[in-house]
Amino acid sequence: MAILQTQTTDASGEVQFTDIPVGTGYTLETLVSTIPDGYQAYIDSDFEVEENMPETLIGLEPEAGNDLTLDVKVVNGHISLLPVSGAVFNVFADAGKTQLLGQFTSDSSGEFSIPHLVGSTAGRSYYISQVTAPTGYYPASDQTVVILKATTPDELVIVNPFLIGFDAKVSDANYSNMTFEGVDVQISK
Amino acid sequence: MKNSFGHAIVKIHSCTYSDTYTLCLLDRENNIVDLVQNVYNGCVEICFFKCGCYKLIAIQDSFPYNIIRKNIFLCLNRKICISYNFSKSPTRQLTDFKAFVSDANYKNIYFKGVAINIGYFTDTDY
Repeated sequence: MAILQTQTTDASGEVQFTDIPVGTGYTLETLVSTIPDGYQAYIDSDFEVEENMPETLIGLEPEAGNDLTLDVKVVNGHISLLPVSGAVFNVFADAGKTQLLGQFTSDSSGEFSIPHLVGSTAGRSYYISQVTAPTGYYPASDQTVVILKATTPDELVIVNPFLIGFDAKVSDANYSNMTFEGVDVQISK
Repeated sequence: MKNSFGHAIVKIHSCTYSDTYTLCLLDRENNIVDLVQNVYNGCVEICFFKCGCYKLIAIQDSFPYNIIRKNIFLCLNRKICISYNFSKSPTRQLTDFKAFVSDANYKNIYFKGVAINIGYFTDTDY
C-alpha cells in the first residue's frame, strides 16, 4: 500500500489530514502498534475523501471475547442485603471524570449492567460514581474503581446503607432520672 | 534505438521527479502501437510504422494518476518532439479533513496517540 499521510491523534482523539486529493478508493487505517490494548485495529478500504466533509468517526471495536459487561448490584448493607432500587450512578473511563460512558439506575432488583467495557492486559480502570441514593438510603461515599482484564468480571456489589433514626438521652451516670438539657450530642464515623 | 520505420521523441517534465510515467501510442482505432513504461523525467522514443494521426497518452504511474492526452500527426520522414509537462498540482482538488478515534460503543472514550494512515492500494498489492 502506498501511504499518503500518517497522523497521530491528539489529547482530544483528533487528527487532521491536509491536502488530500478528493476521490474514492482510499484506505484509512489505524496502526496496530498504536491502538489501545484490548481493541481491534480499524481499517476502511473504501474510504472516500470529499470537500467539506464532516469529521470522520473511527470507532475502535473490542477484540474478540473482550466486549465485557459488568453487572452491579446495590444493596442496603444489612445482613439480609436487600436490594436498593433507584440508585443512580455515573460511569467514567477516567479518574478526572471527563469521559462519561453514561448514567445507570438500579432496577427493582437493585441491579444494573454496564455493557461494552473493554479489558486490557494490564487492566483498564472504570470509575463508578454515585449521583443520588433513593430516599431513606445513604449513597456510597467513595468512587468505585473497577479494573478489568479481558475476562468476564465478577458482579460488583455497592452498599447504600439504610437510614434510620434513634433517640438518645443524656443523664447522670448513676441517676438516669437526672437528665441534662442543652448538651450537644454528635455522631460520627 | 528501436528497429522501426519511424520514431518520435517524447519529453517528460515532471515537478515530482521521483514519479514514473507510462506512454501509450494509439492509432485511430485505439490499437496500441507502442507502449513505454517506467519513463522518468527526460526523453524517450516511441515507435510507429506509418504516417498518420495518433493519440499519445502519458499516464502518471502513481497516485493521483494524472493523464495527459495529445492528438498528434506522425510522419515517417520527419522527427517530432512532443513535450509533456506534469505540474506538481494534481488534477484532483485537494482538501483537508479531520478524524476522531473513540471506542465504538462510547464516543466519549477517545484515544490519544493512535496513528492513522491514509493511503491507497497499488497494483503490486494484489
